[in-house]
Amino acid sequence: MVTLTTSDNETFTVDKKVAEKSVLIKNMLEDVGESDQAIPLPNVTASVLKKVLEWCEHHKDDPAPPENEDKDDTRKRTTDISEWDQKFIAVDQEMLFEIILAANYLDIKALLDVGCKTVANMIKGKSPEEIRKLFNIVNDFTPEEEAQIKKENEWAEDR
Amino acid sequence: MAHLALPIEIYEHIFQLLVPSPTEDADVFALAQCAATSSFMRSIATANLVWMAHYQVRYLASNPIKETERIAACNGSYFKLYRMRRLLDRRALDTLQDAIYRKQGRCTTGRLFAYDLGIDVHDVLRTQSVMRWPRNIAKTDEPALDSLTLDWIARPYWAREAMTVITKLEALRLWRKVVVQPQYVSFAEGFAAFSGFRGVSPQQVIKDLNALCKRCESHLRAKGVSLESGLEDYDVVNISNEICLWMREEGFRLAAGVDYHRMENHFLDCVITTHRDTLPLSLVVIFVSLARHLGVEAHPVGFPQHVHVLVRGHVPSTSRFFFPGFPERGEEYIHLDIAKSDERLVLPRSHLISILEGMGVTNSVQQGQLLQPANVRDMCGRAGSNVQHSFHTELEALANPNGPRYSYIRDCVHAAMSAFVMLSTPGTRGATTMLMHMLNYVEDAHRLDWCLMQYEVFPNDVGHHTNDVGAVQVRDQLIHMYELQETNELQAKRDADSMPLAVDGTNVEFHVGTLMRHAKFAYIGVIADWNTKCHQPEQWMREMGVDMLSRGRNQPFYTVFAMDGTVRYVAEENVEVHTLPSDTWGTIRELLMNAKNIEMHFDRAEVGKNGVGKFIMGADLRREFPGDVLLAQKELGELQLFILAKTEQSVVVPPGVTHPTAPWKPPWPVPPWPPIPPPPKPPVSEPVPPLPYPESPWFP
Repeated sequence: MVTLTTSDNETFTVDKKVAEKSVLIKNMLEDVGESDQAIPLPNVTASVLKKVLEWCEHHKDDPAPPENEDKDDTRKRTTDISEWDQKFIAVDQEMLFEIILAANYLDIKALLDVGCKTVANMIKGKSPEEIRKLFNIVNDFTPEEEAQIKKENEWAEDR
Repeated sequence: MAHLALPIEIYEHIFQLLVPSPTEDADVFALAQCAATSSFMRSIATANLVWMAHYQVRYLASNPIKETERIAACNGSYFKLYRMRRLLDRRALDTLQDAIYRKQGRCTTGRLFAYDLGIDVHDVLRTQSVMRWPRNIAKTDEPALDSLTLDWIARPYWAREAMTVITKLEALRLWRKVVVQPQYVSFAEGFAAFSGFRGVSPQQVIKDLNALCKRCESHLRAKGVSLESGLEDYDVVNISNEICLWMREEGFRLAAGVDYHRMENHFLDCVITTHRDTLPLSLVVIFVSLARHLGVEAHPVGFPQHVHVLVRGHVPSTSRFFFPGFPERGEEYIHLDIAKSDERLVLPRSHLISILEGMGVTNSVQQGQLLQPANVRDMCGRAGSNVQHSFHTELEALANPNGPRYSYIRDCVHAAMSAFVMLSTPGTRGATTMLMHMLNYVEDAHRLDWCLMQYEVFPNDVGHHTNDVGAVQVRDQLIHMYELQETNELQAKRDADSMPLAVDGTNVEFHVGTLMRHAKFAYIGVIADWNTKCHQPEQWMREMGVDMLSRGRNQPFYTVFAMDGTVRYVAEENVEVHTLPSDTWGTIRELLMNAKNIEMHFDRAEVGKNGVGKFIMGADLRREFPGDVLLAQKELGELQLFILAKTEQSVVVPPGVTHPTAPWKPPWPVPPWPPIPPPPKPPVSEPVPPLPYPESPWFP
C-alpha cells in the first residue's frame, strides 16, 4: 500500500499497483525504495486526486503502453474514448481542466489523452469567441487584425 | 466561472489530438478557429508540424510548378499552404456545382477544370466521386446518405468526369510531347498516358513506378548483385535476369487464356496494382523502367508480333552469353524476351533473323530496322492498337453479367483513338477519319471533354490542313457541336403549360424519368426521352415491324435505358408504368447498377409515399422537358422516407417554344440493339424565369 498526501493535507492510502499508474509516483517509489512515509503531492487537491485515483483503480489492469509507439498509433487509439471513460470524464469544465493538469503532473499518459481528447471534442464546431470563453483567453488582436484573420479563416466555416 | 490556465504543452497536446483526415472537416476547422482567438493561441495552433500532417493526408496530387510557387508564396508555412489549397478546393466544388446544374456551357466548365484548376483539385474531386447510396439500399460496407441530396446520382458522375478531363489533358500533352520533343518523354510516360483516360494521373502512375524501381534496386543490392558498371563482375545479362526473377516473384507474369485480353492489361496503373498477369508489352515497359533505373541501357524493340527488349552493355568474356555478331570493343546488344524469361531470356540474333526470314523479310536493311530500339511514338501506337484488339474480345465478355461495364470499355477505346490521332502524322487520312469517329463518340459520352477536342486534339491533327475536304468537314462539325454545347438556346419538347401534350399537341402519356415495364417482354427500364412518333430510319421500322403495332408508327415512342444495359426504343402501347411499391428502392438500385447512362442524365431517384419511384431529370433534360418535371412531381406526391437537403437548382421554362429537329445519328460504336439517338443536347439562351421547382408543395 502507498500513502499519498494532497496539497490540502488529506491522505489517501491505495494499492501500489493503482498508484503506479502514475509514472511520477512510480519513479518516486523506485527512488525511495520501500518506505511507510506518505508521498506529498503539492500540486493536487483532494477532490481531484479522488477522481484521478478512481480512474487509476478502474484501469489498474490495463496493459502498459508500448515504449516506442508510433505517433500515428497514439492518434488512432485516442480517437475513441471508451464508454467508462466518457462517463468518468463527464464532469464540469473546471474539474476537467484540473484532471488534465493533475494527469500531466502525475504523468498518467492515458488519462491525459482522455482529458485532452474530451477538450478537443469540445472545441469542434465552436466559434473563436466560444473558444475564448472555454479557455478563458483574452482577445489581444486589434479590431483590424481580427477582421483580417476572420476573413482569412472563411474557408474553415461550414457553409 | 474562474478558469484554470493550461500550460502550452497541454494545448499542443490537444491540438495534436485533432485528427487529420482526407475528408472530414470538423477537426481541422476547430484548429483554424483556435488560431483566430488570440496571438498566444495562434502561435501554438499554426505550428508547422501540426498543419503538415493535415496537409499531407489531404493533398496527394499537385501540379509541381504551381506547388513550388505556392510554397514560396507561403514562406513554407503549412498553415497558409493548407488554406490556399482549401480555397482552391472550394473553387473546384463550385465549378462542379456548375457542371451538375449546367450554369454555363459544358465546354467552359471543362476548360476550367482542365486548364485552370488542374491536377491540384484531383483529390477534392475524388471525395465527391464516391457513390453514396440512400441508407435503405446501401450495402453494409458502402458509404450511405441519411438524407437524400438533390444530386446523389449526378454528383459522383460529374466529379468523375471532371477528374478525367484533368488527367486526359495531362495524357494528351504527353503524347504531343512524344511527337514534338521525343527526347524528353520516357517510354513509361508515353505508356502511362493511357491511364489518364481512366481518371488516373499519369504523373501518379510514374510515381508508383518509381517506387517499384526503388524496391527492385534494394532487393538486388541486398542480394549482392553488382550494379556498378566499372567493376569486373558487372554483367548486364545477369542483372537483367535478376530483374526478371524479381518481377516474377512480385507476380508480374504473362497472362494466360481470357485474361490475356483484359482491357486493364494495357493500363499501367492497373498493371502495377491489380493486373500483374499482363501483356508482353506491359512487362516490357516495367522491365525497361527497372533496368534504366539500375543504370542499364534498355530499349523496347517493336519486333513483329512479339515485343522484346534490347539491352546494351559490356559482357565479361567469361559470360556464357557471347554472340559472334557484335564483338566490337566488348560492347554488345543483347535481345531479351521478358514475357517468357522463365523459359529463355536471351534471344540469339540469328534466331530472330530466321524468324524474320520466315515472315518474308529478307532484306538485311529492313531486318536491321526491325531489330533496332523502337521509338516511344511507335510503341505507344502499338499499345493503342493492342487496346483496339482487346475491345473486340471484351465486347463478347459484355454478355457476361460479371463482365466489364460497357462504359468502361468504351472509355478505354477512347484512349486508343486519342493515342492514334495524337501520334499519327497530322493531316493524314487515317487520322482525320479517326477524328470523325471521335466526334460522334464524345458527343455521346463525355461532355466536359469538348474543350480538349477544341484545344488539344483538333489543332494537332487538322490544324493548318484546310485544303483537305475531310479536315474541313471535321472542323465544321466540331464548331457546330461546340456551339450546341455552349449556347443557351432552349428547345422544349413539352412545356409547363401544355402537359401532358407535347408542343405539337400530341398526347404523350408518360414522362421522362418514369420506371417502366415492357408490356410484352417484361423488362424494366427508365424512360430517358420520347418522340411524338417513331423517329427511326425507314429500314429500322420495317425490320422491327413498327407498322404491325396496333397504333402503328404515329404514336409516341420512348427511349428507354433498360435493366440489361441496352438502350431501347419502345412504342407507347408497349409501355406500362412499373409499380411494385414494396421494392421500388431495390429496383432503383438495380437500374443504377446495370442500366447504362442513367447517372449521365438523371440527378437523383425518389420514391413517393404512394410507392411510385422516379428518376429526376438532370439539368440537360430539364431544359428539354419542363412539362415532364411537373408531371413527375404530381405523380410522386409526398415523398417517402427522406428529407431532401435543399440546394440551388436551375429549372428552366422555355419562352417561345420550337419543335426539335435533332438529326438522327448513330452512337459510336454501334451497340447490338437498335441504335437510339442520345437525348439531343439542350440548348438555350435568353434569361428565362425559373420554374418554382424547389418551392413547390411536393418538395418540402
